[in-house]
Formats: sequence, structure tokens, C-alpha cells
Amino acid sequence: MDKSVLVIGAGVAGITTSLELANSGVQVVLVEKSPGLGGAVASYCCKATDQCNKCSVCVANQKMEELWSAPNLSLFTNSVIQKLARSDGGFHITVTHKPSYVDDDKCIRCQLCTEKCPTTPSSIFLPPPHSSLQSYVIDTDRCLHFQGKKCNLCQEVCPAGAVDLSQKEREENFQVGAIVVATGFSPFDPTRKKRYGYGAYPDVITALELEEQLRIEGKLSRPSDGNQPKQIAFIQCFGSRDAHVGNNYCSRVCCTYTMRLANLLKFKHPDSSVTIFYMDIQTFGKEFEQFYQQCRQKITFIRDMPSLIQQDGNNKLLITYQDRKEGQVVRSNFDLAVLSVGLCPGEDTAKLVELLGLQTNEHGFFKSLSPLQTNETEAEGIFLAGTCQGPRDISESIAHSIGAAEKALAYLGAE
Amino acid sequence: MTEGKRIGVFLCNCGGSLDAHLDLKKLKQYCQGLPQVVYVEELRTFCLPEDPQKIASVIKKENLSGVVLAGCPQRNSESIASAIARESHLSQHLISFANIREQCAWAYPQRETATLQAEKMLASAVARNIRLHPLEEEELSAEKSVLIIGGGIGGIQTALELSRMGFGATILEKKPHLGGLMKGTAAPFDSVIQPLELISSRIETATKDPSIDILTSSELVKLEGEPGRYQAHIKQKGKKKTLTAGAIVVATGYLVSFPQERYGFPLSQRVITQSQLSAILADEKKTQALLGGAKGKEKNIIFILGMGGESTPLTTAFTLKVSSLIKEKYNWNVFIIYNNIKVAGEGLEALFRQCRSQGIILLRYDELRPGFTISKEKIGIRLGGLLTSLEKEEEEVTIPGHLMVVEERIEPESDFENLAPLLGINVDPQGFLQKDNPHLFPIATNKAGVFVMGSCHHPMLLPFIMEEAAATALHIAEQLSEGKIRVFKERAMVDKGKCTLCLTCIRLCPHNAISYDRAAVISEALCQGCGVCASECPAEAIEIRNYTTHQLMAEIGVS
Repeated sequence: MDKSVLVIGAGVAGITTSLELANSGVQVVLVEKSPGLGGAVASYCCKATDQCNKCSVCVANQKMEELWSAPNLSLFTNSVIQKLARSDGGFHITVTHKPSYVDDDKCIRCQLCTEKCPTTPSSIFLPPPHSSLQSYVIDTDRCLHFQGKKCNLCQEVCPAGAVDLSQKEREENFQVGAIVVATGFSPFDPTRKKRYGYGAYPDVITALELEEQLRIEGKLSRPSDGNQPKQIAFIQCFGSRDAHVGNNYCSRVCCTYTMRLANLLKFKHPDSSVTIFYMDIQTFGKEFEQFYQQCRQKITFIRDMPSLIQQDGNNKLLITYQDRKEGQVVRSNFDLAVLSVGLCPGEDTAKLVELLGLQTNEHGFFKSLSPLQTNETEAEGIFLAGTCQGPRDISESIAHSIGAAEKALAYLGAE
Repeated sequence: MTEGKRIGVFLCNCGGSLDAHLDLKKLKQYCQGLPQVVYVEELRTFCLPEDPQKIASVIKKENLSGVVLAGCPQRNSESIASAIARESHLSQHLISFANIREQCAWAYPQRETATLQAEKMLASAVARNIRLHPLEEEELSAEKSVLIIGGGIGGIQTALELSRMGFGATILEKKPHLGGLMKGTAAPFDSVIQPLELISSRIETATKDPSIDILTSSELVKLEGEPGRYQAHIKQKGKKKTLTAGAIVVATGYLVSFPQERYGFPLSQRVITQSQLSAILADEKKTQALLGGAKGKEKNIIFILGMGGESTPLTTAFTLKVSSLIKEKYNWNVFIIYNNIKVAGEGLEALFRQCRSQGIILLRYDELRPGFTISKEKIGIRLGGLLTSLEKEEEEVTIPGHLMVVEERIEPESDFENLAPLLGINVDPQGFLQKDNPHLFPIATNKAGVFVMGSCHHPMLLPFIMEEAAATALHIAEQLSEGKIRVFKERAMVDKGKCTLCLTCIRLCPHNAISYDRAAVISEALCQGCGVCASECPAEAIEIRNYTTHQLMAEIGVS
């Protein structure tokens, strides 16, 4: 029996599980489909004001850093699981490694390739957020080489010989004793609720887009005109607790992240006004109730789900909602509307469920063995970690992932 | 120590990209003139596997006793340093770094200025390197047994997980029996597992497990020692006992209390708390007496949530489950009056909807709080804003009730005040265990080898407690595996001759690692190398290994 584990997904859950297993002396194969690490967390911003607001984003980043010096770990980015077969009490795995054209081990991030690339913007670039953990990628739709032209400038200028445009897709095979699924979630598709104007009006954005903007640029600007928004609205339960879109569950994390974001915006721009439209505020976990009470002092809370978001002639958003105090339907102007998108099952869930012989629960997340055995699945030797099993915040995902590592270790030990 | 060191300086050209910004030839010459430097070389790229191998072979050939890597910041180069250390058998602590890329080449537009700055950085890196000592890997022996404080579901589950991983566990319970809060919970957790059955079966398994010891009616009175070998002094029914444990897990629960001042009326025959109802539901006869058909038309039960502060998913889950049961089994009219319904838990939103479709009436109040009229005969609850969604007093509706169930506040256990200082761990502003610091989440505390899990650090639903139990067991297994515990190498050391016993360090140490015995004594296993004591010691008696005043002063050019 192989003392090795395949971890699928290199977000905070996959990274935590891998670190725990690797530090316990187990060989870990970590497979990630995208070129970079970190999953959803990689685009979240720190929500500290003049004090830490315990969003845990730094903890996740720290874990990503730890991954680089971890022993017993092979990392396959840009890779997907192609085949899986049970054999000798373990699993035989075939992974397809998509060409990245840039060897991350060789790349020294000198930026020469980006500078010399003849396309504007460069087709070879370090994807945001700019951290040392991301690899350079080539956008093959823009790159002249892949459009049939003769250009291979990036390959020529690379001082480390890291660019190889002739790379082909390759397959790798290996044998593992257990599998941990840590494929995370997909944010709710905001175009599904047309009445909120996402896609139609540039100033309707998702909370994830806000996080990314704050992380990369450190400040907030309206997508339509680049000005700093004065009146900001957050709309809660967007795609959660909504039977119309088939999501009959609470995504748990949205109230928390919205309040931390709103608090951060209010701190950065004290002259702006922030309004949160909500159904019920979900407080749980350490000290969140106190944080909520503090937020109530500076943020307007309106208990109603807006029925419509439009844009008026002055490039302002018009939000229609019911004012319960006056008992009337009100239309208010806002500069920016932020949709607090809920957590939906990961996009690859269906494919993996079939490949691994698992099941999904009624909400489409991976089904665990029982409500109290959330790491285990009905399939022997396959475990779940993080939000692929159901909505969790960062610290809960970390706890859940350590649990998955423990279950996988015990399983390997018992064999 | 400063005599006769043989230092090698390696300059990285970062794949040829630094040439344009730095005069590496000049730097090479400059380094050759630095004290005790015997070897200087410019290499193309440290990041590639060839270069560290080459450095390692040079170290062996030239018999170097110190290495300076000039190039990337330390964060990038640390893995390179460990590769070099592995290959060359030179202690990794004798490898130091000069960040000439970000801090010189990329920071100054002029090549000359950048080169000049790089010279300064190299000089200080060499000055520091001359004074570095090798630090040996140290391990202390550790007991492979764990003391668990609290015999509720969290503690028992942790003990079972630990036992499965080959550790011994002792469960300390202050009550005469195991089971904790779940013994009193009648709410069915889900259709498959009843809490009473769950806790009973876990107690049975734990009792039979030979590697789990159970001490009931026992309390911790004193804790001494450090991770790997804590000495726990225990009082069991007046008798004293001492246990040795490699790690401590705190798995105590929480308290519930009825905040009468927030409600404005006392408990009575008609006004009961959730825990009272829970206890009644656990007893068939009492349940029949309360909810059975005997009382004729008295069939309105009202649950109130969110009056004593924000509600929690725990109390909401209880309310929804019990309501559903009472509606279905006893056919009472059930009203749930809430401010924010807390459905942040698996299946709770679905349960909330199920309750509504079952005919349970869920009414929401906002800033306008409900008013109460309570007499011996009946209860009236006045709510505004129900009919026209206008929150005005004249719109009030009165809901008649016969039995009202009030929500309790979940509070830290009263003995946390004693327990936290006893263990040397911090509490959050509400008094729950573990400081509110994300770097400690989920289960670590400020004190090495002491873990918290379950509802003693914040109230949580059962599935999360089970997850934390597994996480706790694994963390302990990692730290105590093979009966050894690793010691932080760059830790604080006391010069006993200089210590004046002012106790400043003892007061400031965030990890409670310092005690005193004629001079300050810093526990090797507890010290995390944060340096607070070293920077605050007025007598300059404490230094961090390899970050001593002497070394740091040399580095910044003060000698």
C-alpha cells in the first residue's frame, strides 16, 4: 500500500491538507487545474482597518508560502485528473499536464518576457494578484506565436531558459493510497439574476470583484468612470437562500465578508455612505456579534431585498426596494452596487463525482458520509476538505482540511 | 569566534538581469577586501539546481565556515540555503543573505548608487556572518499522552481520535459523569443521529478503550512544565494526583443563562428556557404532561429568539427542530418570533422552510421590540409591522400564547477565569478561551502544547466540533510523534549573571514561557523566539540566539 495521497485542488483547503500530510511524512501529489495557487483566497484582500478584523486572508497566504519549503510534495499546476482506477487497494491516477510554456522552476520573474512581448497588452504575463507564488502564463489567444506568426521573442530573451513554446501536453501516471478532494466552490453566477443588472451596468459588481480590486489596487473606483464611489450598496443573499435559483441554503460567509468589506470601505473613505440590504444577518463564530454591533454604528442596514437595479441618465444606479419604516416602495440612487455572491458547488464537481465514484448532496456539493462525518465519503479512501463539501469560512476550511488529513492518515495507517 | 572564519560570498546575477543595474565585477572586488572573506564568486542563477550544488562543492573544497548569498530576499533564498546546507553539511544558520536585487538593483535607477548600496549590504551581511554560530537541531523527549479537560462530546471525540493515532489520553471531567452539555440536549440533531444516542455510544467506546483514562469529579489545580512533559496537578474528590502529559486539550463547553434584564420578566410556569424545554423533552412523562392533550384548548407555544442579544445558529437549530417536532407530534400552534433567523449551518435553511410549510408561524421583528403581557393564565405578545409591513405602534397585533420558550445567552463557563491563567492561555474580550487572533485559529493558543477545541472558544454546531476534534488530534500527533518534540532554534537565552529579577520578561512574554529561579528561566519548548523579552529586558540579560546585540550591532556597522 502506498503511503501517498493525491490532493485535488490547491486552494486554502488543498494546501492545508497537503502541508499537514507532507509534514506527517506522507508523499503528497497536489494537482491544481489553474496555473496559480491559492484558489479563491488568492484574490481576497486584507480587511484590516486600523486594527485586524480577523478575515484570515493572511493565514491562507502564509500557508501558500509554507508550501514552497514543504518536504514530500510534488505539485502539478495547470493539470487535470484524466483517469482514475482502483488498484491494489489504492488508486492509479493519470494526470494531464497542460503546457504552460513557462517552466516555473526556472523562471526568475525578471519580467523581460513581458517587456519584450510585441502585443499590447503583453500576451505573456504574471496574472494578478502579483505575488511570487503565481507563474507566468501565455494567453494563447493573443500570442502571435500561437496565432501562426513566427514570433518567439519571449523564448529568446528569457535569461533562464524558462520559456519553451514547443511544449506539448503530457501525461503522468502515479499510484496513491488515498485521495483528498479540495476543489472548493464556484461563486454564484451573477448573470442569472437579470433584475440586478450585472453585466448590463458596469457599476454593478460582485463582492469578489471588489475584493480583487482592493487587493491589487488598494483602493476603490467605479468601473464606469474611475471615480471614487460615494454611495455604496451591498446586496446580501445574492444566490443564497433563494429557492428560485435552486439554492436552498445559506452560504454562511457572505454576511461576514460583506461587513468586513463595508467596514474597510468606510474606514478608507469616511465620507462615503455604505448600505447593506439584507434578509437576516448571520452572526456566528468568534466575536462576530460584537463586530456586527460596531458596524451598525456606521453602516446603514436595510432589511429588504431590492427588486430591481437600473441605471439613470446621470450614470447613477437606481435601486428599488421597500422601506419598511414608511411602508413604501422607494427608489434610491447609488454609485456602486456590490452583489454578495453566494457559494455554489465547484464547476468541476459533476465531472469529479463521476470520475471518483462519489455523490452530491441535495445542494450539489460533495456528499459526506453523514452530517457528523464531513470528511469521509461513501467511497473508501476518498476524503473531502473545505468548501467542496459545503460553505465554510477560511478558518473553518482550515480546520476541516486538517481533519481530512487526519482521516487520510488514519486510513493509510490502518491498511 | 570572530577569529579564523572562512567566509564565501556568492553573487547572483539573476539570470544575467542584474548586470544592467549593478557593477558585479566591482562588487566582487569589494567583497574580496572584506574581513575573513576567502572566496568570492559570481554565479548566474541561484534558483537553478546547478548553482546550489556548485556552492555546496565550493564550501567543501574551500573548507568555508560561513556563506553569504547575495541576490534575492531571504524569503526566496531560504529554500536555496537549505538545499546548500543539505549538500554541504554546513549548518544552515551559517548562511546569511544580502538582498542586492530588490533593495539595491531594483530600488536605485543609477547603477553607481545601486552598486554602492550593494557594497554596504554585503559588508553588513559579512559582518553578521562572522559572528554567527551554528545552531544544532535539538529535540526533547515527549510523553505520548494527552490531558483533555472536559468530558463532553468534544473531549471524548478528541480522545478517541488520539487513541486511534496511538496516543494515550486522560479525560478530566469536573462532573461525576461524562457527557457534558449533550446529555441535556433532546433536540434531534438530524434524522439519523440522536444526540443522546450519539453521546452514549461515544462514552461507551471511550470507557472500553484501554488507552483512554477517565477521571470524573476531577479538576486541574496547577499546571507545570512545558510541551512534551506537562505536569498536571489534579484534585479528584479531595484526593491529589499528578499526571504527566505531552499536550493539553481544553474541551470544556459553555454556560447558558437567562438574561432577565433584557426580557423584563422572570421565568415562570408559562415562561421556560430552551434548556428547560430540552430537559423536559428528554423525559417522556414530563413531555406528555407539558404538551399532551390534557390542557384542552391551551395549544399556543411561542418561541422567542434574539431578545437577549443576537441569536446563534445553535439556539436557532434547536428552536426549528423542536418546533417542527411539537407541531407534528402534539399538533400545537407554534409561533417563532425572531429578529435575525440564523441559518448559517448545514440544512438549517431547508429546515426553516420546512417549518414554514408545516404551518409554523414565523414572525420577524426589527428595531421595534415586541411587548409582553404575562399573567398566570396566559401570555400576550405585541408585535408591530405585521399587517401592512409598517413599523408603527398603531399597527400592533397581539399573539396569544400559553407557553413561551425564551432563548438563553451562551456565555463562557464561569471557571474560565481560573482555568485560563492556570493554563497560561489568553481569553477573548467575551471571556471565551483563546485570543481572537486568526493566526491561532482554529485550535492553537498562545501557549505551545495547549490546544482549545469546540464550544469553549466559540459556540459551534456539532459537525464543526467533530471537525475540530480531528484537527486537534492531528496537530498533537504531528508535534509529539516519535515521543520527541522539536525546539525552536532561534530562541531566547538568559544571561543569569546579568538578570536582576525585575520580572519584566515574565510579565511581557506572550507565550507564558518564562518563570524564575534566582534568575529568569525561559522554557526551551515554550519559547517561540518572538524576541519581546530580549528587546524589553532593562538589564540586557536576554538575547535571541543568532540575533544577539553583538551580532545586530555588527550588522548595522556599530562596533
